[in-house]
Amino acid sequence: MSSNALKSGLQAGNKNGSTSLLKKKLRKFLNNKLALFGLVVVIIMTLGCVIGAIAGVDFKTPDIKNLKSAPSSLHIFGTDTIGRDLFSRVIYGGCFSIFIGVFCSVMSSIIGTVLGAISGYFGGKIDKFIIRISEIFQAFPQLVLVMMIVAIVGERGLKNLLVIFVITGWMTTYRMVRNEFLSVKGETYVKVSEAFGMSKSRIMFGQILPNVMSPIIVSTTTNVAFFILQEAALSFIGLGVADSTPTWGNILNAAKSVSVVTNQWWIWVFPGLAITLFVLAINFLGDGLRDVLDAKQQ
Amino acid sequence: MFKYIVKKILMMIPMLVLISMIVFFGLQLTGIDPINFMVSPEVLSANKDNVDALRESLGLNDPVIVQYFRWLGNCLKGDFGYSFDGASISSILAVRMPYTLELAGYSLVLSAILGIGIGILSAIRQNGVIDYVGRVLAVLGQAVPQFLLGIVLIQIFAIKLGWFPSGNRVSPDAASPFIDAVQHLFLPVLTLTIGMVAVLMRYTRNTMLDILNSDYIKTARSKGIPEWKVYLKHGFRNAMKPVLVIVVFRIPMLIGGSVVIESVFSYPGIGLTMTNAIVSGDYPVVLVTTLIVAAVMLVCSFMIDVFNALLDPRVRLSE
Amino acid sequence: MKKTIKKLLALGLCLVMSVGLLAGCSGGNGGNTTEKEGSNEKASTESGSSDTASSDDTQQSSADSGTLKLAVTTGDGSTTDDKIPTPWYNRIFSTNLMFRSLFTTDSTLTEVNPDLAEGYEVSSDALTYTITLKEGLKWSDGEALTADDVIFSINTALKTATINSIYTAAFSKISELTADGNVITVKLTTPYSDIMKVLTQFAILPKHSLENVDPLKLDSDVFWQNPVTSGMYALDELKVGNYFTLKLNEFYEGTAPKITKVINYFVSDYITAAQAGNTDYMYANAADQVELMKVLDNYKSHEVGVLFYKYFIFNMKGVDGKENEAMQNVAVRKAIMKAIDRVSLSALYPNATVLNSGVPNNYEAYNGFEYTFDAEEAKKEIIESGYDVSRKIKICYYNNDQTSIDLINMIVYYLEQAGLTVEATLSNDGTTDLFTTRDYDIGFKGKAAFSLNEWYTEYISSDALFANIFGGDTAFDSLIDELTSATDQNATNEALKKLQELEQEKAYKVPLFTVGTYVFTNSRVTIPDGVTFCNPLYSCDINFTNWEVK
Repeated sequence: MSSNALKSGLQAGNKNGSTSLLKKKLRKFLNNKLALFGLVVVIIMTLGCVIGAIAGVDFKTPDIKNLKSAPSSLHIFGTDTIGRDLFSRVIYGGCFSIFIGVFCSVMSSIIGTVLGAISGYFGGKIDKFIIRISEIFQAFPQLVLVMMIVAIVGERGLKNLLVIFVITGWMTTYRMVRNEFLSVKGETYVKVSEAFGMSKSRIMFGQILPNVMSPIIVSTTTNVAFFILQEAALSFIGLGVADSTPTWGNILNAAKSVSVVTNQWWIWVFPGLAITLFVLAINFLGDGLRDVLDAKQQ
Repeated sequence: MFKYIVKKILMMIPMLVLISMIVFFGLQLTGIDPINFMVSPEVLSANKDNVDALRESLGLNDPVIVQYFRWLGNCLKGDFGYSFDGASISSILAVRMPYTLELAGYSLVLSAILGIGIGILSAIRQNGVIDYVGRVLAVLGQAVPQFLLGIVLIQIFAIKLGWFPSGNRVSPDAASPFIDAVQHLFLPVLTLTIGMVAVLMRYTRNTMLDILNSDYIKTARSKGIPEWKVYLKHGFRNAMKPVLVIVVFRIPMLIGGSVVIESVFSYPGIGLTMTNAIVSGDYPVVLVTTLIVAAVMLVCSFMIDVFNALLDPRVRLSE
Repeated sequence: MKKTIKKLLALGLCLVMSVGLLAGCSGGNGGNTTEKEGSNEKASTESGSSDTASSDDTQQSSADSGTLKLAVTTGDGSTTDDKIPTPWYNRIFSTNLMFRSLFTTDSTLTEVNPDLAEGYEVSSDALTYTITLKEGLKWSDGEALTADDVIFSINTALKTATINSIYTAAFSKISELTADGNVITVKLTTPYSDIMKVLTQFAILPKHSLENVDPLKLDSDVFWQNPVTSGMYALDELKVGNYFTLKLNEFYEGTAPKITKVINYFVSDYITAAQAGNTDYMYANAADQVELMKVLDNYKSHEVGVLFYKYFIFNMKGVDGKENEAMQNVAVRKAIMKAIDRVSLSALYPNATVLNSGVPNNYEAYNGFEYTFDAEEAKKEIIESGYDVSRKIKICYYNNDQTSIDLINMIVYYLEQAGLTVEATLSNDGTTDLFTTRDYDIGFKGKAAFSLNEWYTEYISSDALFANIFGGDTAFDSLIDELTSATDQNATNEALKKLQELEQEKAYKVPLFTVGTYVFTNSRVTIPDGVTFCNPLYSCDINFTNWEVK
């Protein structure tokens, strides 16, 4: 029997019930009102931001005669401290924030998964080595890294932030995947695959990985929210992306000025709401996915 | 077991040295001249010779390697050196560490109690009122950026209502140190707690659900054991193990969070010291605070390992 | 079963350990607080918290006049929250209450009135000053304050690193400094018209506490954790990271002030401190702050006449000859100024007045030149100058407050409208970064000048800082000497006019506007009639003895 035949043999069992299972899962997801709400909000907000940005909303022209004007028909979210239209800024900033969240969480999940798979499957020295590395990264305060990279590169750019988030964000996924691999690698189907001489990478990524996909998908989803919040926090300390690139965090930064907080609620409430709503939606979505994908709760 | 723990602890030393090297040489790479932060530019203009003398006396003209080993040697002797603004770092730590430990410790305890409590209740009454309200509130708490929450809480409770002080940790005219501490800690602890409850609550709920759906609980029920006993004796006890691990796992996040929260509340802890040192390029302080944070993180991950080993026989201690 | 017990034991142990950790630190803290129990009690009987203050005061109003609250900001990076800030850099309210100078001055910073010194005499050639110290002066530790302290302070000021440059600029002109009893003789190499004004600001420090300290590290010495003072107050308690309190200085020879206790809170933000009622005095010069403070009806605003410049520095070249090619063409620099609508920008600051040189437009000495805003013209001139518009112009700024960020964002917008590509970076320091990396083209700075002369002395070729930015250009030197040694108004105006022309021709340093500064005092403070506040970073006589707190 070739390894192909084995694979189809292994999958045959799954396939029988797969269509009905999918339907069942879909129904379960649709019944979860919070998750559905999350999905809808995430889609609407992402689409809205992207469409707005493509349509070319004017997010950077200051209007010195309309500084800090309250929401009106002209500026539905009002204007910021130098008279730029807040609605356009929140839309445009959303693109960057969502991009930061999605990019960093996907990238760090990929890195974490690959390293976790290697570490868990091979074990031994490789495992020990990667574990040490992950511990060092985990121990390293993100703030100091940001500061060093900003100082070395000489600018507070988007790229720096992406790099830092990815290299400091893969460890939780890594630990999770490693543990899953550790417990799964002793199972019969892995042993069988090995006995038939299937290549190691195929066993790791073709056989074992699909079984641990659910938690990875769930954690990737919720990480999007985590990175968006991280970006906002870094902006607040003054180590985020440069001001010329609007992000939700950057816009929200105006809340540092006490006078803005007390007198111009719209300047911080709208970006704050945007972050909160999006993060909330992502978390509901993640919860829903967990409920659906988690085999233990069938 | 003992051997395992000792080995783990010994492993931390080379890792800390490695981290200190990364930070030390990384800071050198930045090319920031610490003199600029010690001496104001207006002054630099007038007294160039004095500034050069200062640079020499601080040893900033030596090769980086020499500077690193001099620093490391002093650290091993227990002398963490001096901040560029002259304060001994040991004395900075002595004052600020307790403040941060207080803040982080109370937040951890409070969020653990709330998170685990709500989590268990929502698992027992899955899809009930508590479940929905608890989940929405918890997730909402996690969704609002912490610094914004802090700013808003200050505006409401410190400024508008005047119930709590707007910052710092100790006030000069306090009648009782205890009440003073409660007043100063309340808002920052609340802010940190609100952000952390969600994760703990969710995790507890899911673990509890797993266990309640498991076979042995069903068996227990079928034996006619009263519901509360099922929850308490079988459910809670088994759920606690993984939840405790997650609680420890929160500590790194707590430290990250307290850095931001300390600057919102101008709370004089390690986080604020670190942020200020980073912004002002105070190398010696950045180095030592980084190492402290790193050490705390390493200890946490060590504790997680030990917990895991104690709780899960599948993970062998010799690993 | 045994195994589970073992595990539980281990778990319990871990818990006990972590609880112990917590208990340990809170215990340590308890120790800290008990240490100052005594002063706590005193504090609560004297004033109590702000809520109970009124009842306490009614009982004690005859004995003392309550507690004044001040805020010391750590947000601007010039002070840290673990010591008393040095009076040799900025003279802030809190330290003005502790340290005195030889003379005191009025709100315009021009009068010279006795303080530690009784009076002074000037020789006819304006080169020799004889200053007579008051008799029987004492430091807060009871030691005598003598002419030796004055000489020690002036000599040390020239050797220390952290000090305001108005002192070093003036003291470097001193050729001979001698004391005979309580008479101090100061001889100058060239006349320096501001020398007495500078002495109204220069705080005298105690020789007996500081003579063994390395002058270079003076500002970070342990002295500042418990300083010996000469003013109305002495330090009572310093609580690192939180506050320091002042008590009356029993050795102060003048009339004791009515306010007997001062609390100085370390805060990161003045406004929050004011909103929370934690400061009875603060100042602001950003529009959003002033706007907010004016809304608070328990604060009274006082406008202060300050020369607070907001300006650009073009990064030219270093003394080493390293050039920033892009900015060499003066036409580019002037076109950049033309592209910015400074009148509109001034709306971001309270009472901002556009200016075109170091001399404000309403001064007699102003030469009448104007940088006008003309976006189209600017665009044309940039193209004509041959400047490569695709090259990024890099601006650096170092103030992290919202108004500065707003201003920079607006400037970026204007320059982009003129067809330029611009990048603004928040830097750690707006001046030294210009020449240490020579990566920026323009630096945005603010300066609360002590006097007009301070603006122009920055151009001097021997200025170790600006020489690195203006390439050590010696063109200004003789005119600056003419200005600093001018003894009458006519000569001053003459020198200023010449300097302005040169300044506008070179366009190295271009002012945007001066901004208004406001002092706010809480209405619980009663300030005696006739008090006018001066530049909040300097010291002047505000009749503090007669201040009262309700």
